[in-house]
Amino acid sequence: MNITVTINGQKRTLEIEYGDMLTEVLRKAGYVEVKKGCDTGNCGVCTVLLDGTPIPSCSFLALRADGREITTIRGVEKEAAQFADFLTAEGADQCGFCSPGFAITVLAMKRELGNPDEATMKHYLAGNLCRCSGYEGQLRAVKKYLEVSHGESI
Amino acid sequence: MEIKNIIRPKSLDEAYRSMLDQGAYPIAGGTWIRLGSRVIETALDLSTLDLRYIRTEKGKIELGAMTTLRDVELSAVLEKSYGSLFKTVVGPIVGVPMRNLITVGGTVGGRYGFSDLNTLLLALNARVVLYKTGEMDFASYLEHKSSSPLLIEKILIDERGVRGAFTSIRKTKTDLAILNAAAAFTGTEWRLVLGARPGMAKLAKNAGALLGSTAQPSDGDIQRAADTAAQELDFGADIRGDEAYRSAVAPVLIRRAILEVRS
Repeated sequence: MNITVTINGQKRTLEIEYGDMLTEVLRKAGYVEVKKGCDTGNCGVCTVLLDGTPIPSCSFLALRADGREITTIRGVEKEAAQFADFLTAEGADQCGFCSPGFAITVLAMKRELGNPDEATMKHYLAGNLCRCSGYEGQLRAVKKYLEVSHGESI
Repeated sequence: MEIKNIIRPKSLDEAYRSMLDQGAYPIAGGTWIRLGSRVIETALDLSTLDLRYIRTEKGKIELGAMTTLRDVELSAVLEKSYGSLFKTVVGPIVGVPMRNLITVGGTVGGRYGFSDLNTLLLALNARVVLYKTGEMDFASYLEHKSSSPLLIEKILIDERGVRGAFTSIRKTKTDLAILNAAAAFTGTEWRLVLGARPGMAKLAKNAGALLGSTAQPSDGDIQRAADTAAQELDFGADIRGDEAYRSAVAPVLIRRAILEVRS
């Protein structure tokens, strides 16, 4: 079947199988910034925005994306780059494999909650795993990023 | 996982007919469906139906089958009646992105042994509304074996908040529970539930009866009820814990849940 999806502002028609998950479909269509991790919805590296809401694309049937809007990290490149500067400054970038999904969730949190307290941040970001940083650097980066940017829209 | 054909129904009736006539396999959140190598001849995509809502109706809170766990977590309707109880139960499940996909209907319909939400719903004496089949209490639904299809439309809980508490033990905050427990006092009876045993949630009826109809059971009665709950239910082993561990932890979790409701 064919689905028509708006990806990062661009309308695309993609041919899929009924059982395809969104991660694979996006990667086959060239959006390789969407990383494949645990493939069970637990690690968060494949997170994208679906109509502005963060979802693990590995656990979402691609056919359900028909007529909807998908945003990968490339679709929020400017904000992601700004956030990445904070990750780097705090030594929290490391291998970078989890960064696209993590940054998408941070930006979704910013849109939804502005600049929340630390407990809320940890709760919101708990589904995005990182096996390098130990999270402390990431948390410092998120706090500093939100302090300077929470008034800006994404 | 392979899906050979898909039906995207426009109505509950169409959905039910496809289950009845074609053996269509219903997909709610769909987060677990890809785990495994099953071949689904005909899948039924429930996302096309208008089943995502949390609303009050005739003294009940209705949770539509396609309501997400994130909806449950953020619901002002549930918070008004149950305080932070639902937020406590669903909040630690994986992470926000996953909770944006996992649905109430999929959780209930899957009868998952590891479920935290099902443990709470059983303690709260929820009812399951099945299209064409009618209403069923939660305990009956979990144990119901039917050759005819069951299509969950919504879950009902009392709008008048029942006093309830949930507790669990797990290796990390967002991991599946090794064991979970819920207690609720309806005003006339106590309902004590253990889940992730690792089998699905079960009501400890004898233990609940020991607490009688008082909202303030004694410390001694609470301990007896907790011990009885662990004795009357069976436990098993899986990768997270063995039978002996679960049966030792069970009375502790039940006691804590009762104490929280009593306070």
